[in-house]
Parts: sequence; structure tokens; C-alpha cells
Amino acid sequence: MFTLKNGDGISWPMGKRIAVMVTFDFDGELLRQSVIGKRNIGFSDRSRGQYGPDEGLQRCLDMLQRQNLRTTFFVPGYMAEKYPDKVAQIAAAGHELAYHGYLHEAEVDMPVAEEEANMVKSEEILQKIFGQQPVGYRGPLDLLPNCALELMAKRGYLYCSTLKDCDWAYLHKPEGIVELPTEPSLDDFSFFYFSYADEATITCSYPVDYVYEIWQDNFDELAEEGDKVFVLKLHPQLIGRASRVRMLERFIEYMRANGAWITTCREVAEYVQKFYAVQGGAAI
Amino acid sequence: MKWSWPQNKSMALCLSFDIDAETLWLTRNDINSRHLVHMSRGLYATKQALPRILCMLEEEGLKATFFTTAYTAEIHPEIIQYLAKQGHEIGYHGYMHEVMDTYEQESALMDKVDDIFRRLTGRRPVGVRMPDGILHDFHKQLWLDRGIIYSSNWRNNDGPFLLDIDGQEIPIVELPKDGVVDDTSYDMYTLQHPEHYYLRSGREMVQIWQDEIDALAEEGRMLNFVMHPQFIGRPGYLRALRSFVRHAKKINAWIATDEAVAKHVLAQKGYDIKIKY
Repeated sequence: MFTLKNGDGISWPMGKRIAVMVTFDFDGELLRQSVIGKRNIGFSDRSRGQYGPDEGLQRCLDMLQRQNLRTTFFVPGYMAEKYPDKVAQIAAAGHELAYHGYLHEAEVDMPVAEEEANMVKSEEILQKIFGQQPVGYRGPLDLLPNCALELMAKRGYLYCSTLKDCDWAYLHKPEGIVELPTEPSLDDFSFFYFSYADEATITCSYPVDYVYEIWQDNFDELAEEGDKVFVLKLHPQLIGRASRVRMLERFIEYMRANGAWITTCREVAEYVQKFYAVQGGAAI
Repeated sequence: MKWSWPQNKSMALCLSFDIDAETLWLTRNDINSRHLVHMSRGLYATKQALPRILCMLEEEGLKATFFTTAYTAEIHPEIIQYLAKQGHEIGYHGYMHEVMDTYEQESALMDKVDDIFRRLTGRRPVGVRMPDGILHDFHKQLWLDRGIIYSSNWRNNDGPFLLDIDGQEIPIVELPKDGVVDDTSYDMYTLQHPEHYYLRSGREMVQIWQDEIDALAEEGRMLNFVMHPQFIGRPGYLRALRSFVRHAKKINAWIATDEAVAKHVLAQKGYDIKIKY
């Protein structure tokens, strides 16, 4: 008998209504390089990408500290090499560092040896700063190479936060990796990215209140459903502008006041894995 | 012709969906069959969006039409069978979101699709919405020969109207559509060519729709939707859609399937069609 399944029936700790992850992709100038498809970009585009490490990151970190929040930063290995002090500052504040490529590489058919080399190199760099092996994977540029899940399992990863097939956290079979899905309308890139170097993204910015409403409507509906996750995917170079961080802080306060459990991807993934080990992953 | 709607309703409103799911991605770029993220976005349609949409329709006591690519029904049969069992209608939308170039090829494709839906749900589609809005000269004759009772393809008119062949009216009702009621113009985001990256909020989308039905209801006309579950089934857009259908009820719209509206129109025109399912 088929029953309609709109979630996996998970319940969150302390009676919370929804698990929220306010995640950051700290990809600096690599983001523009990947979007435009060039290793070498012009001065303006490079400089705009560097708004992340040079300006936006500090605002994000200050806000997270005011809100007493620990969260997850997906950091390409190259960024940690180039900006070791910034990435050390992220880790020192208690945030989780997770894998996001070495050079923000994004290829469907990435050879497995090449991706594993990227992981080995980046894990080493992140571990030196973070003190532990990263356990989270987010494919750069909304892309998951076909070899990735197998490599995650082999290298002891706990979760992936890249796919977009539902609004609940689930376990990949057979790898047992937890998926924490993302979605373009919960990604600041969709609203705030702009570059004349790429025709597809010559668009204008959105008012912050307009984006707040879109996120709020998604949050409210999911919180009512009760067994869902809400993963914001943000970039210090985009959300880090003064007006946008203020909007984000207001939204975090709204989610807190409305039953959100806001924490790192790792903590949610560990909870999900344990919950499903007991429940067998079936709807309750 | 001035149409009248059952029970003195102010207008006819078809909440129609196109279930393209994975085929939307498979047909727009060859790399997508190996692109896990794009395939996961297509899967969202049957895994997450349809359960959410069907729950909302049930709570609101409404029936809708789902123009369903038969490939999707083959790879996700349970949800499609469930939807049919709930009394929603399945309309024709190709096998893999494709349109054939000749009468014979298209007829063979429709045979294949009819077989799949008869096997899964006990009946075949009796209405057509062509994938990508592509139509050839032979289509009207083909539909007539196959006992199709409605089409939702034209955009030249608010409808409904009856199709004709060489000026001769045929018993196929046209229930037109338009970009203004296609959710992808507001809620689809992709940087893959053909790019579509200007997201609008759910609240703004349904404000546009409410303004449109408020005016159409005064004229006693109809409106037929083109909604894609993988986008409008997102929580924020679904929330907006729910508020829209409540508004439509308030203005006394007749919310019905395409098939129900087509039958009503045919009866008003004096046709007595025996539909073969």
C-alpha cells in the first residue's frame, strides 16, 4: 500500500521544529573564475571576489558571534593556503571547516584520481588549521562529480550538502553519507551575484527585504511540516555587504524565535545518522 | 459565445501542472543525464513536490490536471498511480517531452503513452498539452482521429473556444495558456543554457495571478495554469499557491480539471461525445 511521503518523520532535539544551517562558501575570487569558466579573470572581477576575505567575512563572523552561533564554512584548499589567517580566524571562532574543492573545480566527469588528489591536498591544508579532518563535502558551483560519493565514503566523510531532490536529510545508499540538500532560492548567489564578465549574470541586485520574505516563506512552510532541514548557502563576498548582513541577522533572530535548531552541518548530520540508525530511516 | 459556468460560478480555473521532472533536464542538455545536481532537481518533482502539492489540493478539496511525461510515470509509478487514484486527471505531455514530425510517428508515440497510462492508471489521457508548445499542421486531425476532447496549447485568446479544421468546427475544446501563468517565469533558476536566473517571490507571483483572475471573473472567462512541480512545489511557492487558491474560492471561481471544463463546454455547444478511455 503506497502512502504519500512528504518527509522522513524525523523529530529534532529539544522539541525544535526544523534544523537550520546558515552555511558559508568561502570561495573568494575562485567563485568568479569558476562561473566565468576562466582561470584568469580581470582586475575588477578578482577584486570583487576578494570582497569576501577582505571585508565581508569579518562582518559575517562578528554577526555570528553576536548571535552566539557556530556554523559551517566550506573552504577550497587554495583559499586556506592563500588566506591562512582568515581561515584560522573562522576555525578559532568555533566554526566547522568543510571541503569545497581545491580550486573550486566543478566537473561532472572529474576523473576519480584527480578528485581524490584535490581532497587529499585540501584535507591536509584544512586539517592543519582546523585540527581535524573535514567530514563535509559541498560540490563547487552546484555540481557533484560522479565519483564524489564513493570518495566521501572511502575517506570517512559524514555528509554531503550539494543535491536538491527534497527538503529532508537522508542517507545515500550504499555509502551511508548524509545528504543535507540545498536549493537555488536559499542561495545568496541567486540574488546578489553580478558580473559583466558573464552574460548570464548581468542582472541587478534585489532589495534585502524582498530576499528576506522569500527565505521567510520557505522557512515558515518547512517549520510547519516539522521534519525538514533548511540550508542557507551564503558567500561572504555577497551576503557580507553591510545591509545584507543586517538582514541575515534579523532573519536568524526570526528563525530562533520560531523554533529553529541552528547549528553546524556536522552536528545535524550526526543527529540524523543516529536517528535513522534507531528508526531505520522509515517514516514514524 | 458567452459561456456560463456550473452553479453560477464566476469563471473557470484549471490548476494544471506539467510533470516534466527529470525530462526537463534530460532534454535541455546532453550532459544532464550525468549531472547529479540537475537530475536531483528533476527528482524533486516526484519525491518532494508532488506529495506536498497533493496534500495541499486534498486539504483544499480540489482536483487538478497533471500533464505528465510518460517516462516520468514509468520511473516513478507509485506517485503517479496515487495521483490518479485521488481523482486528479493525467493529460498527454509526450513520453520524453518530445514532439514528432509526422502524423504517423506522433500517433505511434501517443499509442505508446496511452498504453503506459492505461496499464498504470486504467485510463488514457484525453487532453493534450504539447511539450515545448510545438504544434504541426497534422495535429488537429490526429487528435480528432484519436478521440481527444481538449487541447491546451493556443495562446491567442483567453478561451475557451472550439478548434476547427479548414474553417469547420471540431469537437475539441481549446483551454489556452500563457506565460503569465507559467510558474517557471517566476521560480525557475538555472545558469545552464538556456539560462533562467531572475527569481521572483511567491508573494509577487500570486499577486500577478490574483489581479488577473479578479479581472477575468468579472468577464466570466477562464484561466488555465502551466505549473511545474519541481519549482512551484518548493515550500515558499507552495505557500503562495495555497493563498492564491483560497483567493480564487473567495471570488467564486469554478476550480476544476481541464477535462471537466472541456466536457462542460462541449455540452453547452450541444455535442454529445462518447469518450473512449
